[in-house]
Amino acid sequence: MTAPTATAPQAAVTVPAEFRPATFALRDTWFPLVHSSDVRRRPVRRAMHGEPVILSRDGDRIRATDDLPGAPPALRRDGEFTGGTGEYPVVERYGYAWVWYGDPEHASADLLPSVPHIPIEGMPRRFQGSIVFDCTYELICENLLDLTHADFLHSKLTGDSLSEDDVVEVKSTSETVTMIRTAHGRPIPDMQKSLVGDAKTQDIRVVTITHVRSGVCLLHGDFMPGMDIRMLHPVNPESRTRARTPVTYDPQRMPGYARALFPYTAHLVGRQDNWAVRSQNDRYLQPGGQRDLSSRFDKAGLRYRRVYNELVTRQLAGDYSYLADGDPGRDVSEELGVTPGS
Amino acid sequence: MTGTTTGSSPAADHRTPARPRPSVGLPDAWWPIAHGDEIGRHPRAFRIGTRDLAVYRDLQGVVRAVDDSCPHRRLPLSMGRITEDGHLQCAYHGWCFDGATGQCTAIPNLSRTERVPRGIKVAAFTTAENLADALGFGLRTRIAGAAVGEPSGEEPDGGTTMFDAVLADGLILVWTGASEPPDLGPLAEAQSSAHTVDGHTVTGTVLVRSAYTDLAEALVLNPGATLGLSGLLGAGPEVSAPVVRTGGSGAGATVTVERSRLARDLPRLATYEDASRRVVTCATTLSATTGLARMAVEPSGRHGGCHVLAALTPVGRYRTVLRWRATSSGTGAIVRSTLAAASSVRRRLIRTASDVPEAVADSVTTTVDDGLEALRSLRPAESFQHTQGGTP
Repeated sequence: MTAPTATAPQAAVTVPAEFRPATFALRDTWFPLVHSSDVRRRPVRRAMHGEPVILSRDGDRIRATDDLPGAPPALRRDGEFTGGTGEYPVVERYGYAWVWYGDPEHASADLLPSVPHIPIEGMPRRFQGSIVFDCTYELICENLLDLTHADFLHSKLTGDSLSEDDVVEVKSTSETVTMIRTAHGRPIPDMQKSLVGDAKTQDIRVVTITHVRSGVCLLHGDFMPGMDIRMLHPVNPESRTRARTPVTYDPQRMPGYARALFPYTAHLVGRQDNWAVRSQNDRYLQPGGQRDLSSRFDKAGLRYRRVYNELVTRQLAGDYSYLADGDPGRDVSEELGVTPGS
Repeated sequence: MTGTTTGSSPAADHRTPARPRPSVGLPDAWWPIAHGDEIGRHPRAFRIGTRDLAVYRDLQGVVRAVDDSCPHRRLPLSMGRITEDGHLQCAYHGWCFDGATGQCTAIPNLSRTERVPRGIKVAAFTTAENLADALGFGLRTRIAGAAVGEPSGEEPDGGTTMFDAVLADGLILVWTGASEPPDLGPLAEAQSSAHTVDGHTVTGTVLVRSAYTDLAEALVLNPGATLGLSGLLGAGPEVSAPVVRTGGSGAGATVTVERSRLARDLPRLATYEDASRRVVTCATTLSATTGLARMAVEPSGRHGGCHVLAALTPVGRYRTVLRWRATSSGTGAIVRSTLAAASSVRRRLIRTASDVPEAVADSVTTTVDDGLEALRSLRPAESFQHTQGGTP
């Protein structure tokens, strides 16, 4: 059954003034909890907003349960989102086991995000990686929408803030936030110099599409000349101090050895990010926190906070539906700047 | 301002802070937060009461203390660095802040025409540095960041929160009140007194699991044992009743207690005389509000004198950082200073540095003493907010 679709409410939505991550679990969404290839007969444990999920392979299908297989009935959890069956709805797509967090009656494969730059069967295992961050997932989503931090924290890989022009464009629906950053004439970052020949500068178009409800992020970084990086970057909320990101990479326009090594750079880049976000986390979890100052480069993050707060407000009122503009399965190829199947 | 500062006086630099100064859960006062030599060009995190501060010296050597949270995305500013043109720069997005006012002065990508200035180069924290951090070393460059230039005019009106800081007698003191900071008061006296003493100086720092009010009472009761400086101040049984004097009022109230006691607290066999009979007379003057104390022992006979400054920094309800600075003079000053330093290092290495201070602090609740009663009568009521379950 498909989750009910509604039109935008007529009354003005009261948006919470303060961004308070990790205080509400947005529900009725799919979480790509684990790479399908990592699920075998031996159970794998993951979590969604603190709820344990045990994944195991049963023949050709993946089962996601809230207890270990074979747990005595008297000891079973009988969680809210398994409808009395002990099993979460599961779908395999893009190389992941997607698990439904919400009313099982509302689970529908139509609500899976469209990921046009990753094959529907997923990438080979060597292009997959899993990074764990010591913070709540909302901070990672903001981090991925905020690319000025990359100029400062990951400048060796993605380049610093020098450029002839630097434009950030932000779009949003009731479910997603899209950030498109376009810059020209940027100096070649150290780690890309071997890819660009004699070129001294490069143009970039970097896109992040964030599904606010699930934290699933689609990224496409087009560095011309230079590398072309396509990523499916889920940000799964495990707890208030832990977010797991089972990432799929599709690096292009680079030699075979660089393509093979690229997924490992995630542990350097992720470590740099974790260095920052784990220190941020406590300060965002404490009630009565300060109001943040922002510049115009933060508009994607601020839009994320607004969409997040609007979703929280709706779900607090018992409305878990997807609005007409919020179809997660809509085609985003044009926004990402990719040709499906390319 | 009577305190010795490095560079220009903080009071002279004092302007309206960019944000209202938050409460630290302690009475308004100049609170010590660090030894002077703990602060350099690289910001470091220090805690006072319920707040974390990033403390550093700017290019002129003036000590600056700032709320340890970037107003942009709340990253600790102690993770940042100083730029070549003297701004405090956050490590996450490179926002820069003026050291005197806390005003945001630069955002690296910002310019009036969306054209990023060519002068900005923000290759900040390299992979190697973060690898070191990943391995647990927490190493970061101490090289100043590149200059960020003049403000573009599009920075936010706000900024971060600065605290008035001053270097006095080797201690970094921070004013925690919302109002204009007053003169140093009793500390100025301590400073002038200490500076008249020529001698050999040693310092020590120890984290004590005790409320700062109890530890202040321990300093009044037995400073030699509390500081681990029995050779300098004496730590044995008292040989006469203490002489207690009080002075000042309000935040400037002090209590002075003069005690004569045996130098060593050695075990005594039944009713026989003590094995050590050297008597040390130590005068302790302590601020009733902050517990900042100075101890003086005048030279006598073949024993030289010494001056000790002890500072308490509350960092939690039952956690206090105890810092001391001892200056010995006269006969055997080098030997006594060396022994004091060696004893301090030995206790730290074998992890017993806080044992005796905690034991003395625990004993004050059951001890009847004129000095303690005088201190309790002078202490402001809000001192207990931090230690007795009140939300600081």
